[in-house]
Amino acid sequence: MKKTQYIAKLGILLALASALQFLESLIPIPLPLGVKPGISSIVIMYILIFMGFRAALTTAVLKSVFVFATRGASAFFMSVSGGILSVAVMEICLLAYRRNSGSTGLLMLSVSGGVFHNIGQLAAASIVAGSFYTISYLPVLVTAGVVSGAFTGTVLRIILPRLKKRADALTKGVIIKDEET
Amino acid sequence: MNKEKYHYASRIEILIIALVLAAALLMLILRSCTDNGSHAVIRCGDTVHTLNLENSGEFRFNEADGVVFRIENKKICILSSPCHDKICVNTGYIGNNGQNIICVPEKITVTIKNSKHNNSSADIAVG
Repeated sequence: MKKTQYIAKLGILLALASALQFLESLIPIPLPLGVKPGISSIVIMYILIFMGFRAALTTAVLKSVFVFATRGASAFFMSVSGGILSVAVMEICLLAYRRNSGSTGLLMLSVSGGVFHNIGQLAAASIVAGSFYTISYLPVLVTAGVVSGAFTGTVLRIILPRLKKRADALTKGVIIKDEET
Repeated sequence: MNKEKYHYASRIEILIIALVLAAALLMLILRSCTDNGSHAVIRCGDTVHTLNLENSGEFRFNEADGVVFRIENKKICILSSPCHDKICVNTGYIGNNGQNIICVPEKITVTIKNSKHNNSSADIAVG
């Protein structure tokens, strides 16, 4: 992919992820601890699978900068640690899949991402609050991570074939030139 | 780039996910079966306050500006807080031993303790 094309695509996806996250925060969900389905992680997973680890990590961190602008420093710290940990774990998961079977299990990928996003946030919260009693939230957050990961993984499973079809149609003719990179 | 292969979930993956979920739910159930606590230990930054859950009412501390704690029916909640996300307020009342409320922006933790494990046994009423 050309560099400008890459930057433009990543920019659009970053905007999409930030907008989804913001929209999600507008919907009041009556769950404890501010548990959210994490719709924006669908975008992050798409970037991770098709554009690589560095692109996904960059997007996750920049998305947290958006959180910093709208919700403040401690929310930023929690968001960035959750984001980095979940992208790192999903990358390990993805590498393991590529090495072993060559076929990525989307549900496993998104569930591990969801669970470790929550664990990263919990770790950040423990550091900010200066207390390790936060560990007692672990069962709730793991449950929430599994459920939200299952949700986002299912959505990704549904939209991936459609996205691929669109992307193939759009880049037909262009893609032959780009094979060398 | 579009040669990426993927599937939804194999049987083994579903089994692993189900096991993790089952473990988490089991921990949740075990945790909700603990006894009632007798004290609330409130940490505001470096200072620690202890409140007896027998004393109903509203409480404020100098170290936690604008945060109101409320004790009712041997349970405590954070009634209001100036923080942004209000997760601490939405946690609601807690009263079981080991439960806690954490407000990350205000650096406040509330933990329920049972006085059997504390040395401050002077407050215990017989019966």
